[in-house]
Amino acid sequence: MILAHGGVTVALPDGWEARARLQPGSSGNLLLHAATVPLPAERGDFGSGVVEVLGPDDAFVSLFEYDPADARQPLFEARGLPAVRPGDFSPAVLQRTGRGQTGAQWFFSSAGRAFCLHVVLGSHSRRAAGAARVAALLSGTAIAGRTA
Amino acid sequence: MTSTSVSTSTSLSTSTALAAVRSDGEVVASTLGQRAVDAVTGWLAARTSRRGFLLRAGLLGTALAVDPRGYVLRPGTAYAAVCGPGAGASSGWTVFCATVNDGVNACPPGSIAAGWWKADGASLCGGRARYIIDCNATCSSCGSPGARAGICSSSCWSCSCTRGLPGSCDQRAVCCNAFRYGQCNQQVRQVGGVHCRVVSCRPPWEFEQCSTAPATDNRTRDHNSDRLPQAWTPITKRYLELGELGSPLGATVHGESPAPGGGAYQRYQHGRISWSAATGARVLTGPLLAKYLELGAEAGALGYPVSEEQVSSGGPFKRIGAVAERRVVFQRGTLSYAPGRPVVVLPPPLPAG
Repeated sequence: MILAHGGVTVALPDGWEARARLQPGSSGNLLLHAATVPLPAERGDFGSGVVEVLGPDDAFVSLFEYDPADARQPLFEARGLPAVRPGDFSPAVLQRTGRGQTGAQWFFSSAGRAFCLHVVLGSHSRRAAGAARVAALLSGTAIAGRTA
Repeated sequence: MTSTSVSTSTSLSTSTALAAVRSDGEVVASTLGQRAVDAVTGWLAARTSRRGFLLRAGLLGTALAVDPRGYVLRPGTAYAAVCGPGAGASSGWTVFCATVNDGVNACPPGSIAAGWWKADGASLCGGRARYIIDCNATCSSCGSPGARAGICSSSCWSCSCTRGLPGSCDQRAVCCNAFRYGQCNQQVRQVGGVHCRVVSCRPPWEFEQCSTAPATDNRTRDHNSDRLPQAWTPITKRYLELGELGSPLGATVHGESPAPGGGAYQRYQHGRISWSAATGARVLTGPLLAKYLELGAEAGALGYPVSEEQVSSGGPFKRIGAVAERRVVFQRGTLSYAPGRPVVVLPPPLPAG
């Protein structure tokens, strides 16, 4: 199953749901959510409404795009999608901490576009398996330039 | 039915995988199997349930019938405590700056705006979007903040993790969450954790160095602090018109307070707005405000202001020497001021005839 929208393509491994949209009120900024649980229609851009229902072995991914001009800023100096490793995760790297969950966050640019990748795993103690699932998802993800 | 088309490799009923484009433009794909079908059907049911519609309509009707003015001004009142949902120490959310910054709705010293999101349809903003701005710690005096752009090592943060102010209902976390929304101060490679949150009814790029990339989290719509304004009122409306945090008034200091005769006032970093039903919402700043406070403010001899500060320019006011006179007319007198001179209290004009 392949999801393609707004210049981002994701080949979904088994056991994932993904949703993508161009942000209303933006110049075409993409928001992509993927999770190993069904995604509710109403959810925060960085996962509220989803992370509350993650089980210990579940994962949530938000790929959030900024304005095109933001890509030139130092915050987005890293290039390309990150390599996700268990050591990247911390229970503090969450919009809303607690519940034994863990998170990681990367800022980067790709194809002249600025992004934040935020990943939430259901359990910090089981982050190795969760990070591997997310890495598999990202290995099938490609970012091209903005579509018209 | 809101889905407009289904571009599918398999069908809904037999799906181990499905894809769809919804009417709101969201593209959905799933390899969850039956869990996805349950999610889609549940999503549709939530939008087509006659019972749900009737419940919502009934609730609205009841609120309007019982307290129409109160509902319009602040429909959330009946449903949430002063600090709103998720205000406890274990909620995992971050505290409001007003709670930990002496009531001032602004980033405390040592922190900077690092990102923002909005909650649409907020009663606290008169039905507009309510913007929440994260004030993140800075990465002060640290030799090894970490290599990655975004958040520095917690050992470098200019604040440390704790909980809300004792005595406040806002017990949310202070400087605990290592998260960056990312739209503000992007020239700063690294910031620390989220110290606290500022709220605004105007977009943050009007008064902070932020980009316009929108982020939304409607679940935080009613988060609040007992050190923030509690409702959409004539005062908050006037403040919004003036530019809110971008106005010369600066940030709110605590919430509105009652004043004699059913009026109210709101303090700001650099001024005050006084309101009564008879006089409207009026702005006071500078030496004229200082004199007004000295004379007892709304409870004093002058009463409420009936005008805002007016500057002479050859119009109704005299020039005092070479400088312009500034004055505010009150219910029972006038305050007049020119730079370099004391504020003068003028009696009300005699009634005509």
